[in-house]
Amino acid sequence: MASKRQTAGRKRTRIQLVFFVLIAAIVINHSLHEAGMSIPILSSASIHAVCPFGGVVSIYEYFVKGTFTKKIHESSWVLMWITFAMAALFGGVFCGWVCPFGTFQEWIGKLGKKLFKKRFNRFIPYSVDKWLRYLRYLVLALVLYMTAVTGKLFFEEYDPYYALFRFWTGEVAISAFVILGLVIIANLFVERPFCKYACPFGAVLGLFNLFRFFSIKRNPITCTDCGACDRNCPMNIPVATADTVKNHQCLTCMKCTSEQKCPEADTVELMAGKMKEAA
Amino acid sequence: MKIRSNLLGPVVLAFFIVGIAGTMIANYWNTEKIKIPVKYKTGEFAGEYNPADIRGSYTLEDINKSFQIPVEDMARAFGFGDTDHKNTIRAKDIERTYGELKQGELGTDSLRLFVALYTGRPHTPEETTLLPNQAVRILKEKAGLSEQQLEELNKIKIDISSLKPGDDVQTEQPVESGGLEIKGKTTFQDLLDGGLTTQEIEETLGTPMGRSGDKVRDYLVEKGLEFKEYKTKLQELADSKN
Repeated sequence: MASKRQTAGRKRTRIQLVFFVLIAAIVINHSLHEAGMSIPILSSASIHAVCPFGGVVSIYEYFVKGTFTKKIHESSWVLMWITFAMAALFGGVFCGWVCPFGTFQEWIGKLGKKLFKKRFNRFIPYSVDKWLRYLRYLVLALVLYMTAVTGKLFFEEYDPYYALFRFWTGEVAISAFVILGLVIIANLFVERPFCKYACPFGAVLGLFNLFRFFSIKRNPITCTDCGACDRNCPMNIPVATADTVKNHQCLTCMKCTSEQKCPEADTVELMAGKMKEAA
Repeated sequence: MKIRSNLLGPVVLAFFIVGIAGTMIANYWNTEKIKIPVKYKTGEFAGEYNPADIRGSYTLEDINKSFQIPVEDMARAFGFGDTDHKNTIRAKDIERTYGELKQGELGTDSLRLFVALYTGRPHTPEETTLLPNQAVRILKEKAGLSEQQLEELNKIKIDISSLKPGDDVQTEQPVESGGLEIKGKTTFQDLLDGGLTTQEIEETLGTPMGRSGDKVRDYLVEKGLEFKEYKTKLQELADSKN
């Protein structure tokens, strides 16, 4: 019988699965719709219409011209604000619980774990790695700038998420396939490599971790410095040395919490307000 | 206040459900481009939809909604009469099927011309635009064209009965001696790459330049300007650079 800790972890993977299947179904239905047939009830929206990052790349156009970037519609704008509202409360929860490409990387990562066991996700020293993590802000700046200048979805040609979910259409650029291939290979060594180093939307949501209402908090009184939180964080965040995790890479996956991997009760929690100190 | 997984999961779902349902109720949720062409801003047809703004992504059904042309007529005109799902045929499907031929081009602009003639609205086609024989037959039958219009159509009509998708399709036309040819697909970036400066483009158009990725034709149509007129001026300017 599964323990309470295992059950807690499965809740997240179930939610991830729901979103992955839903997006995949919508995207397939979009192709069916283009071919003149589609599944009724299910949306046949394009992948761009159900991606909140479309809202982010349209911000410039929206405020300057009052329109959206080509291929982007009101739905992306709405999804962006929903995601921002969630991020204001819980930080990178979209990345950890919803994003289908993050889910896909977690599945590939399981293979990497089998191959490299404890060495998986530990190949790059954190002192170097933590700086590499800022690369995604460069990607974000480039994508926003190029989208504003060209008025086109610049990132589409490089987007591995687009390549994954539209690979059969003939619409995906070779560059996107190459990047998807590189992500899959890197994923055998590193957990969520695209999220860590290149995802421009993760870069935006990561900023919310600096001031989110509910944060991952550690009680230094009850903490035994066992390092379980550090070892289990997919993003290699040093939770054991922080009282409040404000790291821009936190996915709010809750693996570090007392509900899952932390062996001490009420020691690492997702919470608002002050951590109650043990008597 | 602590949040556990068994609460966070439903909260995440609730955010999406409430957010999407709320905007649906407010009639703001929209997952596709509303495919309605711009309207003429001036002249006899002011307030009417302009066929020049029909885009490659428009389906025959979209065009039917704006111009009230039977889908069946459009499908037959372009050789799709036997297709099962005529409503979902897009303008760019015509372009994909025929595209650039030896005699000219059979694509989105051909559909624009057909719609314009069918509805009696003005549209200046590109110099290379062709129309299938059956499109001309339908227009003769239903559009009440003048002798002069029929004469013009005879010059650009083409027999597509022997063409299958992909037949006779040429890839990119070779550009002569590096010169820039202004077409409906030409973007502002193409103009800049062709040696025109931003200042020259803006002086020629009399309006600020669009963004580099914008097609000049689409940009002008959105502003209610006639592409044909500016195409000639831009071509002269581009030719003067060689």
